[in-house]
Amino acid sequence: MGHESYPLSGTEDCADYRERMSCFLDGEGPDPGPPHEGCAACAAWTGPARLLQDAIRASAAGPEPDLSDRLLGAITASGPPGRPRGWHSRSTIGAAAGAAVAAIVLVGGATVLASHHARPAAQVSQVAGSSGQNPNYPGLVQSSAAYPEPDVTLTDTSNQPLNLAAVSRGHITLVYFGYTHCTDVCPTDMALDAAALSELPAPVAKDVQVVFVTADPNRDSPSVIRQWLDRFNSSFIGLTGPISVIHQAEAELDMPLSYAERGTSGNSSGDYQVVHAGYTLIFTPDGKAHLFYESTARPSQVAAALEKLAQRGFQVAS
Amino acid sequence: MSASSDGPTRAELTAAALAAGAGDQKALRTLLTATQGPVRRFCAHMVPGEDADDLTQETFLRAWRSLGGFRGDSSVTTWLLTIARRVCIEAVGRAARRPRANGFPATPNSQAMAPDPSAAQDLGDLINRLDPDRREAFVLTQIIGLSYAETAAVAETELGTVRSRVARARAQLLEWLASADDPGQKNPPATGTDPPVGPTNHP
Repeated sequence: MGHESYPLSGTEDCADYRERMSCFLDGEGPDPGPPHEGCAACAAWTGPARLLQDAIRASAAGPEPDLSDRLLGAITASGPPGRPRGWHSRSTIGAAAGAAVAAIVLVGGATVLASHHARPAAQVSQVAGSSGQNPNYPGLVQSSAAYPEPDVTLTDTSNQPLNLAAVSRGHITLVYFGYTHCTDVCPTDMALDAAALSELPAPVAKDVQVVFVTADPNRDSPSVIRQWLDRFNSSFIGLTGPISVIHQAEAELDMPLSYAERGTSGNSSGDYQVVHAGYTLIFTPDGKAHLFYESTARPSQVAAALEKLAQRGFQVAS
Repeated sequence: MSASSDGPTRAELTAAALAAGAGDQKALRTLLTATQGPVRRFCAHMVPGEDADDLTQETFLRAWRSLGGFRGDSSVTTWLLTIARRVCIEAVGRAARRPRANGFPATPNSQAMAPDPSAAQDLGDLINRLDPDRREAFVLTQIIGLSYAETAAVAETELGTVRSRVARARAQLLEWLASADDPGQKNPPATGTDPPVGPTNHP
């Protein structure tokens, strides 16, 4: 992306300093410290910026009209909600954060338990009990079983064959199954990974790779995946392949098998959603995953977990 | 997450969304009460020329129709804002007749003229005069209270772009406010990435 002209007079250094200060004010970056070369204009910028932030927060807390009755009426009049085909039950599982949605669906003739946001529930050891928080890796979930990286060969975004197990060896690898047309968790999770990586010290970051496996090979060609991943981080690896191979990988990881859910709006074209697992697995350099996290994790939590892993020589257990 | 933090937690909102989809009217009301604010504020800032209530209603109707596609992710608000964004882009496109594939078209009131800060009713007025891309990032982070990562997801852009857009919006507002305090330096020229748009029938 090119440089935009800065509204205020000042040098590139001023623009850079004020951007870093802006991030700091929002809790999205470290304190940039004193301005470059004692720049007086930048030093004088922070105070008003803070005042502006306070004023906007105050105005955003002001009263708003309550549209509940109007919205409720409009929604009720519009008929039942859209729901996926094959949806037999819709229940929240407990009140746990990231409540899972279970659905029994038929995939390839076999009945499997699929979920919009499933965890490998049977294997999960909730180390800290009901909260789901893990004292060793806050914000992440630790599995009692070690999942080996599936030995499947897919195609990367350069159209080259790439073996998932081989690419994971010797690195920390964050593996995610999703699709580029996704409007909620996939972009959130990719942005989360990109943010976590940017918080890591360079020596740790260079050992971390992110692998995105599409659950929608029908629409996600290598070039589509590349273009999409580049929005987050051009180093992210993207993989596609036959859906049978992708399902094999998902099955080996105890993930729900992904499936396309044609729209309820009667849209017969390319407009459909894909149900897929909504969590990221962390593979250590031995090619095994013990930890995973959902999009509710904060970048700082993921970064802290990765740093801790690196410090412990990639041994997960404390 | 939201600027008003007294409402239900993310997990409770997720549960409410799922229960609402299963026909629970009470959960639906909880969901609407808790999420209409961010949706309406976003719509009001992104399409100042249209009735924010109408845009909010359209957003919730679309969300209702695609509730089955909501993946049980806890960020119900982010999901709703993604839908609101599409509703708003279409609304601006209708008004300005310049739809853009992946973002907000420039609106006349944001770029065509340098605002007179002393004429602005309040801060909200000034915010509405920002370049649409910057305004979007600024509203999502400062008024709705999303993180930069969530904002990047909603705005379909990169984290670095969000950082720069928020900073530039902030700097632009400060410049306008400073010039309002200093009568000798009124109406600074507006600068931005998009060229000014010509006159349109936008209200």
